This record gives sequence, structure tokens and C-alpha cells, in this order.
Amino acid sequence: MITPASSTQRSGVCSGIGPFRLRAIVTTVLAAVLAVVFIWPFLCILGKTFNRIDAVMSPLTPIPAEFSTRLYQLMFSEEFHFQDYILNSVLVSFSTTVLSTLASALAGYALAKLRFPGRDLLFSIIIGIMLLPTTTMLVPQFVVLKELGLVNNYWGLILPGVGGGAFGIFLMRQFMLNIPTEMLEAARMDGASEFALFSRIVMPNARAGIGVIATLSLRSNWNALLWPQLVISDPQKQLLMPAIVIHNKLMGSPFSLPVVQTAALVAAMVPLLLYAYSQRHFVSTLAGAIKG
Amino acid sequence: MTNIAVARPAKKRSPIIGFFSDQTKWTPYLFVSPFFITFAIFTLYPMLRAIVMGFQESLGYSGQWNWVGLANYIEAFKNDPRMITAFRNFIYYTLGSLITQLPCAFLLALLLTSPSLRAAGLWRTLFFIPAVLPGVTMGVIGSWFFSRTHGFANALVVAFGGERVDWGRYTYYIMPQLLTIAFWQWMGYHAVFLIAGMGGIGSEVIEAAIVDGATAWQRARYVILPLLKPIFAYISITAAAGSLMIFDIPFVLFDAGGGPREQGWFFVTHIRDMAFVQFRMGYATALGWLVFIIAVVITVLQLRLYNFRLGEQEVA
Repeated sequence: MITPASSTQRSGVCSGIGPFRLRAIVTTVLAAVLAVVFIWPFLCILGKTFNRIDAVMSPLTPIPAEFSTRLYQLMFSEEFHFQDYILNSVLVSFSTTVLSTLASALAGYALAKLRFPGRDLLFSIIIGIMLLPTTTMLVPQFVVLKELGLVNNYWGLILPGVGGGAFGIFLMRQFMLNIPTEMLEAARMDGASEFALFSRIVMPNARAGIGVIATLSLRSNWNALLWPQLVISDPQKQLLMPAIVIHNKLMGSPFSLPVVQTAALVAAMVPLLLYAYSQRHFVSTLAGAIKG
Repeated sequence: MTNIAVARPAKKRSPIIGFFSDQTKWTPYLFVSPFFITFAIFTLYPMLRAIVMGFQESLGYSGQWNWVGLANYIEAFKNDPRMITAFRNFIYYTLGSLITQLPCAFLLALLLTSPSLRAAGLWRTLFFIPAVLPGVTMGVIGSWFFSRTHGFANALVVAFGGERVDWGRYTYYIMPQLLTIAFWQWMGYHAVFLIAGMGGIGSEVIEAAIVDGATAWQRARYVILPLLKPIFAYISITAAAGSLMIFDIPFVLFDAGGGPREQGWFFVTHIRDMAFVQFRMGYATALGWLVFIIAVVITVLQLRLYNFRLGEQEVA
């Protein structure tokens, strides 16, 4: 969506301009300098996590005064055992993501490609839910979760998400609209069941969309702070984000702050890698969602 | 006659049997059911319960509730200065974010779509990176950045010959701190949306402007900017909704408090504090409803506002 338009723009502007090379150098250098300035503080704190704890290092440079991986070792040591929190987070956020993506795909497919009474009404309801600020209902949601016995229990974090979100279903529907109906009809003629249709034809054809929804879902589950903080009370069962906040507040040892900083950067790796993996689809999907 | 009489009861039963014997009829409902079932249990039912809970007060975690009528809502309006603070901070934060981020995002989007730019994808990715970082990470980076002794900001101040500033101590530094972090996180994100929107503008429009002799600045100001209105509308609606629910970054930055004179106190911070620190679940539920209504009003107002303007544009 972006590349074709900008490439036509390119041919329109640069035709026969002599100092084009100079302009290319100026704009590219400007963009590069701005980007480096922008990302610089992030590089500095990243460098800081590789600095030896007692070595003095200027906050303005990303290069450690003396290289050391001690902070990473401390992070996974007996004292801090962040590996437990990471495992807990992986367990909860990955299982929620798999189930919610599947549910979003199923619902999005039904709303886009199947004809049934009440379909348009259900779609309008989903759009309505998307616009509702349901986060404000965290207290009654917590009370209900407690009555269901799901507090301090990973199911309390997983179950509310397994049906997929309204936004995910909306995006999925936009994706599924592109699947050719004739292909589905042909498979139906050949006697394929509705389930086979979904798993054999719909899923493979919507791979890009499923990737994007899974990325968004995993990112929001992985990054969540408030809800796991409320639902999980046992410190041993805590997820990564609340655990970082707890250590940040406790400051139990002189190493707490640098270890917390290290853990916060390690915690950012999952969304960063996800984004690196799916970035191409990411932008076009989100842009498509605004128009759709 | 008898034939018809026999056939009738069979026909009466057939809709239900027919429904379940024909897979194409019931599978759509099965496919949408996971969402509606979880929504009903974990969102709709709590919302219905919340209508009652807003008129009640809990006795700690005991599970006992007393009816208090409108007392919660009256207290929120008359006797809760921190709720007023949260509302004021929300307004400052939202307007501050949009005013600082949108113009820069627009200029950045122009730069990154410049036809002479090389490796555009790389720069776009770098500007987008902060947007995918977790709020907790942003909070930790933010507290390091504004740390009095070890921070980036003060190192910069000292490098330019200034005195160290105690950013966390003075009221008037708090909102700028939050806005700086928000700028860092969302400016590039908005720019990427604007770039996507610019891709949607037909190249013939731009070419027509070039033929008419419009300068690059005139093209940006009078052609591209007006055509990006739907994208700006989308950004402003989602940014306002996001600011309404801001929690992670101030929570990390101010150690679960509100910073000096509550400058970093927001709605979700307040609701959480009321419900899970002061154990006033009923009052917190009532606050939830107030924020819910504020959110709906702001979204509807914006939808109206931008639709209206779009209509106006088309007429003119």
C-alpha cells in the first residue's frame, strides 16, 4: 500500500532533476541523524546493562566503560530469579494468544464469508463493543472473577481472553473478505465439511492476517501490567511485568535498580522481535483498518 | 387430505432438525460463540453487576455490600479532589500529547515519504520501535532518563554547563516528563499512520499540484494535510481513548503514587487505589462508570466533530 504510491511519486518528482543526488544525500542524512537521536537514549540504557556495576559510565554514551554480563547473570540468579516470571508470562500470554487468535479467526470468517440470520446485527454489536471503554469496568470484573474462584489462578488471566477481542475480530473480518467465495463454494460442492473448509482453505489463505492478530494479541498480553497485578497475588506465580514493578519498588539490594533496568529491556525483547518479524503486514493492516 | 395431515407435524418439527442436520446453518453461530460467551461472562455480566455495585459500598473484601444510594456519585462530584485532579491531568496529557506529537509526526511523515530519501523503510522502523515497547519498560527507561544523579537528561544539562535538576521533585516538571515519554513512544507511531494515509492519496493529485506549480510546502499544506484529515481524526480518537486509560508509565515513574501534588494521578490510578488499596469497591465501581461516561462522550463528540468537518470539506 505504501510502496507503490511512493514509487510513483518518486518518478513524478525526480524526472530530469540534476541536483537530485544532493537532495538524496541531504534528506537521507537528516532522516538518519533524527532516527539515531531518537533511538539514542534506548541504546544508552542498553549499553548500561552491559556495564560493570562499579565502573563509572556516562549516561550519554551507549558504550560500556567495562563490559560485563553480570547484570544478566544476577537477573537469573537465586536472588532475583526472573526466569520464573518470564516462564509464567510465556505460559499465560502464549496460551491466551493461541486461543484468542483462533477464536478471532473463526468469528471473523463467519462474519465475512458465511450467510446466516443475524449476521449484520452481530457485526454491529462487535463494532459497538470495540468502541466501549470496557477497561473502566475493572472493579466489577475483578469481583466476578473472584466469585468464580479465578483469582490468583492463571485461568483468571487466560479465560477472559480466549474468545478473542472485538478489535481482533473486526480486523480478521476485513482480512477474510479478500478470500474468494468461489473457492469456498467449490470446496463445499466437493463435500468438504464447514470445519475442513476453515482449516484447509481459510486458515492458509489468511496467514498474514492471523500473524498480525497474533502479534497484537501476544503484545497486549505480554505487556499487560494492571490486570495480572490484580489477579495474581502470590509473588511466586507473578508475571514478568508486575514482577519488574515489584522489584522496582522494593529496592531490596544495591543491585536492584540496574537489575530492574536489565529485566525491563529483556522484557521488551518479545514485542520487539514480534514487530521485527511481522512489521511489513503490521503497518498495512493497521492502515487498512482505519479505512475499513 | 390425510397425506397432508400427516405431513404437517413432520414439517413442524423439521426446522429444528433441519437446522442441526444442515451444517451450514449452525456452524456460523458456533464460530462466533466463543467471543460472545466470554464477553457475556467476563464483561457484560460484570457491567450489569456494576450498575448495582455503583449504589453500594463494600465492607473490605468480606463480600458484604451495603446499599448507599447515590452517595458514591455525590462524593465523586463534591468531595473527591483527586478525581478532579485525575480529570485535569487527563485533559492536559491528551491535549499536550496531540499538540506536541502531531505536528512533528506530520513533518516526519513528509520527510520519510520524500522521493529522494534512501532506505526509507529502515528509518521508519527505527521511529516506530518505541511504540512496541511495554509500558513498564517505558516507565523504567523514563525514570532512568529523568534520574537526578544517573540520568540522561541531567547529564545533558551538565554537559551544557547547567545545574542538575531534581525532575521528580517539582510539580511543574511532572507533566512535561510524561509528555516527553509519550512523545518518544508515540510520535513515530503516528507518523507511520500518516505515511500509510499518504500512500492512499492518489499520485495524480500530487502530480496535478506539481503541474500547477505548487511548491513542496504548498503541496504539503494545501493538498496532503487536508486529505489526511481522516487519519488525524483516527489518531486523535484513539489517543484520547488511550490517555483516558493511561496507567503503566506513571505507576512505574511515581512508585504507585501520583508524584508531587498528584501531578501524575490518572483515572485508572485512582480507581485502582480506591478499590485495591482503600478497599472501597463500590465507590471505585461508581468512579468506573463516571470514566466510562466521559470516554463515551469524548469519543462520540470527536466522531461528530470530524464527520462534520469532513462533510464541510466535501461541500466546499
